[in-house]
Amino acid sequence: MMRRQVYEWRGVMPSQNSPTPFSLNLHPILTINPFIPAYTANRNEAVEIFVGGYGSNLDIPAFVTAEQFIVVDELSVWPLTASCQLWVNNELYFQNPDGSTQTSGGHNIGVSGYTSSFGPSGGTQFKPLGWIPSWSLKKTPLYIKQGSTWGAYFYMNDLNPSQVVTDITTNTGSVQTINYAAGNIVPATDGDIWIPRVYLEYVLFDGSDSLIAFELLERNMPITVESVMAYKQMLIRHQLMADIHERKVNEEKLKSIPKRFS
Amino acid sequence: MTITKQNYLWCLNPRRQLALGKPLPSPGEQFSIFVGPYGEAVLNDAERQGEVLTEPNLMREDHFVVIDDFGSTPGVAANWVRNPAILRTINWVPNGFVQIALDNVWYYQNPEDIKSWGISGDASPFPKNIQGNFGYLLEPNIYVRPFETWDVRYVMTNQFPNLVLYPFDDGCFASVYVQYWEFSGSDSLICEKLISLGIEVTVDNVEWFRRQLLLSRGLDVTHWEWYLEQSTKYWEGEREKSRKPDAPKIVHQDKRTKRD
Repeated sequence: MMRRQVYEWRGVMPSQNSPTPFSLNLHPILTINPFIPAYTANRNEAVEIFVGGYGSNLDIPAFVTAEQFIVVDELSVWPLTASCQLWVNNELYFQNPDGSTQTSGGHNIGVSGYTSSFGPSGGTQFKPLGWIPSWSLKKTPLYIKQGSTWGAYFYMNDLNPSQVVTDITTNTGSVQTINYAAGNIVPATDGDIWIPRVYLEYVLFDGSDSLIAFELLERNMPITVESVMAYKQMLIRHQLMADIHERKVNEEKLKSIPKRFS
Repeated sequence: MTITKQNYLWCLNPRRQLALGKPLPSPGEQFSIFVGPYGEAVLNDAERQGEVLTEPNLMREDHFVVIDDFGSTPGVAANWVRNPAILRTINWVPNGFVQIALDNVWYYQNPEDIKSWGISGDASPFPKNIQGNFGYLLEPNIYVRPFETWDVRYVMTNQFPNLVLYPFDDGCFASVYVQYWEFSGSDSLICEKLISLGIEVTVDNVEWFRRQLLLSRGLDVTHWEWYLEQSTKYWEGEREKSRKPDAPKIVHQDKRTKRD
C-alpha cells in the first residue's frame, strides 16, 4: 500500500501549567490559553522534532521497519527565522557547498522558514503576510530505507525575532516581536503567528510496495507513486506473458499425448 | 453505470446542537462526520437541519469510491473571543484533524507506526482560499472497494470556553469537507479490473478501459491475451505521454494544476 502521510510538529503546550515542555504521541488537548514553552536551548542548538523534549513528541525515534520504505518530499518550517535539517541514521541531508555538514557554529541548519514557510492561521487581529509554498523535494526526494532511523532538527536561530504582520482591524502593516527564551501565552489577537512548527510530508510504502520501492532503488530509478505503479504494471504484464507462454507449452504437450479412447 | 463526483460537507453549529438537545463533542473525542452524534450534514433542507446520515458508508457490491480531497477548519490556538454585550462566544478555533477509516484500518499514522490524529486543518484547510496553505494533496487517492466500510473521523483538540457564561453564537464553528468520485454499476467492475492490472483508478482510465471493451465487441475479453494487450496499450500510452513533457498528465490532473 502507498499512503501519503504527514507529520506536523508544534512547539505549543496546553497551558502555562503544563508539567513538561513536551507532550507524547498525539497532539495534546489545548486550553483556551495555549502556551509556547521557553526555548531553553541556545539559538544555534537543534531540537529534534520527534524526541527532542520540546513540543509534540513521540515515544521513540522514527524508525522504518522491514516492510516499509519512506520517501520524504515536502518540508516546511515556522517561524520565518527558524530552520529545519533532515537526518537519516548518522547523516544530515542538507550540506554546505563544500560537502561538509558542520560549521563553526554547529550543524548546517538546513532550510529556513523564509525559504519554506508553513504558513500559520492568523489571530483575531494579526495575520502573517503571504508566504511561498513548501520546500518541495519532489525531484530529489529523501529516500529512507528499511532499518533506518530518521528525523528532523529544528533550529530557532533567533530567540527574539520580529515579524511583519497585517493588522486586520486597521488593514495596515505592523511589526510584532517575541522572546522565545521566555515562555509565552498565545494571545487570541496573535493566533498561531508565533507557534514554532515543522511540516513533513512523505509517502509511506509498505508491504509489497516497499519491496518494489527497494527494487527501484537498487536499479537507480526514481521512486514515486507513479514509478511504483508502473513497475507493478510491468510485473503483471510479464506474469501474463509467462502464463500465456506456459499455456501454449501445455497445449503443445497435450497434442503429443495419444488419446486413450479414440 | 455512472461516474459522479460527490462531496459531503459537515458543520458543527453548537447553538443548534444544544437547541436540539444534542451534546457537544469532548475535546480529543474522535467521531464520524457521517453517522456520529455531533454536528450536521449541510443540506439545503430546513427540515433536516441538525441531522447527519443514519447509516455507515458500507459500499454496495456495485460501487467503488475514490476519495480525492478533503479539508477542515484551519487554526491551532483557540483565539476565543466573547461578546460581553450579548454574552456569546463569537470566535473559537477547533484545532481539528481529519482521519480516514477503512474497515478497521486507520489511514494516517505517526512515524512510530501508531495511529495519529490525521491531517490538520492547517495542512489541508477548508474552505480553501488564496491565502490558504495547500500543503497536503492526497496523492495517491484512497480507494474504497465493494463491501468495505469507510468513514471520515474528526477530532477537535481545543477545549471549549466557558459555555455556561458565554454560549456559542449561531454559526458553523468547525467544518469538514470531503470530495470523492463514485463509480457505480459496470464502472465499478472496471475499477476492480484496473486494480488487478496495477493501473490507477481515475475517471480517464475507467473511460479508456470502457472504450477498449467496446472496441473488442464480439471477442472474449476473459482471455489473458486480451488483458496483456490492454496492459501493453496502457503502458505504451503512458510512455508516449512521458515523451511529451508539456502534455497535461492524466493522473491527478486536476490536483497538479493547483500546485503547478
